[in-house]
Amino acid sequence: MNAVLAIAVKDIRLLLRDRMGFFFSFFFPLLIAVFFGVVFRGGGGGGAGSGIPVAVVDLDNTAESAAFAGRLGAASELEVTAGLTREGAEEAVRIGRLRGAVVLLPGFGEARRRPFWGEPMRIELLVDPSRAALASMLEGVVTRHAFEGLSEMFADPAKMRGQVRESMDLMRRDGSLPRTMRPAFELFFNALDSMLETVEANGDADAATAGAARAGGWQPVRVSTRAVTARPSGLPTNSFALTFPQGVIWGMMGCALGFAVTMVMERTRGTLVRLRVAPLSRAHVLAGKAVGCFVVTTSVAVLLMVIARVAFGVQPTSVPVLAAAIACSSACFVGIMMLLAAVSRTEAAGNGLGWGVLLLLAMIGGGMVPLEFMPGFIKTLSVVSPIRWSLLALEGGVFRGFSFGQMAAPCAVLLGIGGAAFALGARLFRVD
Amino acid sequence: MLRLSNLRKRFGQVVALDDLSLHIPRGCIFGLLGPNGAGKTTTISIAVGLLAPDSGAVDLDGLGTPARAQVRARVGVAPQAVALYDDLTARENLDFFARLYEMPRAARRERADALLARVGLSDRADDRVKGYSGGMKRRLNLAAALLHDPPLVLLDEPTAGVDPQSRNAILDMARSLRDEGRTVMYTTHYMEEAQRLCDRVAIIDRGRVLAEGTVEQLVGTLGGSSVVTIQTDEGDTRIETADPVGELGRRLAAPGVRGVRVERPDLEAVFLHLTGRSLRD
Repeated sequence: MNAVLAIAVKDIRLLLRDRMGFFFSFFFPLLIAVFFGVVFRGGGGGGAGSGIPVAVVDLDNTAESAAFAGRLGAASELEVTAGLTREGAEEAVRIGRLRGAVVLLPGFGEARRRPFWGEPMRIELLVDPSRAALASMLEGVVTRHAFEGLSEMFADPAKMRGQVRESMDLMRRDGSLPRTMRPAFELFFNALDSMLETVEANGDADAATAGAARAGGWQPVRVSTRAVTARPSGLPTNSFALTFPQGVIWGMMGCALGFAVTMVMERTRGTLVRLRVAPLSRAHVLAGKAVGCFVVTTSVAVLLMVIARVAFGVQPTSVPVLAAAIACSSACFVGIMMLLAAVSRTEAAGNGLGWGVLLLLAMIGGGMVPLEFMPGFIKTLSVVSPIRWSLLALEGGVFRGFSFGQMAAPCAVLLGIGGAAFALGARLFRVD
Repeated sequence: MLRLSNLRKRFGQVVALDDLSLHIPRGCIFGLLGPNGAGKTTTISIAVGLLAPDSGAVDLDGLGTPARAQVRARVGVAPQAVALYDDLTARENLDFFARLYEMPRAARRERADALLARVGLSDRADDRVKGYSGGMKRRLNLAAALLHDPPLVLLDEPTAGVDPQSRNAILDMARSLRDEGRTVMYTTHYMEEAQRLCDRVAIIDRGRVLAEGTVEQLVGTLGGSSVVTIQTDEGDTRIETADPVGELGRRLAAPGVRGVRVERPDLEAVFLHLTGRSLRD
């Protein structure tokens, strides 16, 4: 076992010292993931760069609520989907298609017409509780727009006078208002109307706004938040969730190829003779190579996903499932590495053959262009590509929300391909 | 120490070894001399268990075949190709190879330091091998064969392509290994090297042993006569003789001798005698 580890550690050390190999095993995949993540940012996958995707649901169905919904629809901070029912919006949040929903509750219009007493305008936000920052931001945006609407009203004395008169009529008809309060409100509305008349005559809107702002304890809008726990949607939460699994695939390909070439080098440069002369079996030598390759491919994958999480906000739907995907993919690439090393007679042949085979597998497996954009026969053909299964497994852990049961198929295929390739490669690998 | 009996090995249509038998006695430097393609490396590969013979047997020190790991652990090999990792330092190379023999860390360190000093690479121990000259790599290649203190050391063309200084160092090291009681099997196609170094020599060609014995025995029985050339005013006279000293004594007494040249037979002559070809053909 010590010898197996010694071979693995030596190979890892050699890989880290090979700048070109390290570049293609780590930095190149990272560049691919980041580059395409930036390119695709804003297009699909939740639109990371184009406002918060939310639904606005109008349960009040008044002119005031419709006007406010329209105001939110025009807001640059939001990307509004309208026309959903409350249940539809809730489901959209739950499956992750939308980040949240703004529900204008019944009574919104009436509260908007009598902003100085009674219940305030009530707005409910539906947000995934894991997105606390988003909830705060959405609440701020909605509150600001509500106040801006009122502020516009105050800024137009004529409009405000109409509102005051309408409020006075409503107050006179409102039986719920305590009788003792009525003279006070009557006095207030008359005084306010007189002031607005003066302001309107003099064209001084600021005085009116200042006067209204002096009304203490005034709360024209109340925003409450209700938690809607999102479940995995099967859609990437941002563009990097789509590109980092592909980056991981490229990293694994680079590692497998690097190790295949080092195995060929062991033979062509004679160091394999030393390994074989040492009291090791052939199995020890191959196991050492396999362990080294597995450790490096897994480490590269983990490192890339940590970068994706920390720097690009990619939140895996399940870390254990993602770990299983990485382990199975690494095992598969170890097998591919062994087969490539066995059939390559020289380092140049190993590099050429390796990239040729892996690029072909990546091409038909969705490693270059997503399979969704491929013609039907390529999609059919892709079942033979381990890249397809590896990508599916990784996406299953990153955004598809796979359970372990759903991971069984891709993992079984990966382990099957890896095992067969390893067995064949180990059989064909010449040690003399 | 090492007995190879009736070894046969074919690679396709090519017969690499054809009923080759050798016995390498303990504590000597045994030279395996032959042209390129004679079967020297194939013999070494079979001797350490890297290759299985088509037929025949190998026995190391009465322990059996080196195909068994425990038997193989008693052999150190410096392969013909420099078998080192260029991107590791000399010390890292030695440490790695020592780990393959399950040596504890302290022993590895101590042994590596001693061997680096022995091959004159202590001051470059922490430099990557890719910066070494050919001779330095050859010396390190030899050091790597000695890490686990093997009683039998196989050196396959250890001086191929090295500078004279490194060549002398390698030859000196081979002698010191013998002086320590180890057995050294040394393949080369440099006849003068074998003549200088080896206690016993086997000359092989096309996979067969043509002759085996001490250098003196081989030269004496198969090298032919010495040639004494007497230079006089009338010209040069070449005399083939088995007694060059006596011949010189008689000829030098004659008048008009301006100079003499004595050519003693060597292993090249032995090979020429045995095959009709030069060793370097």
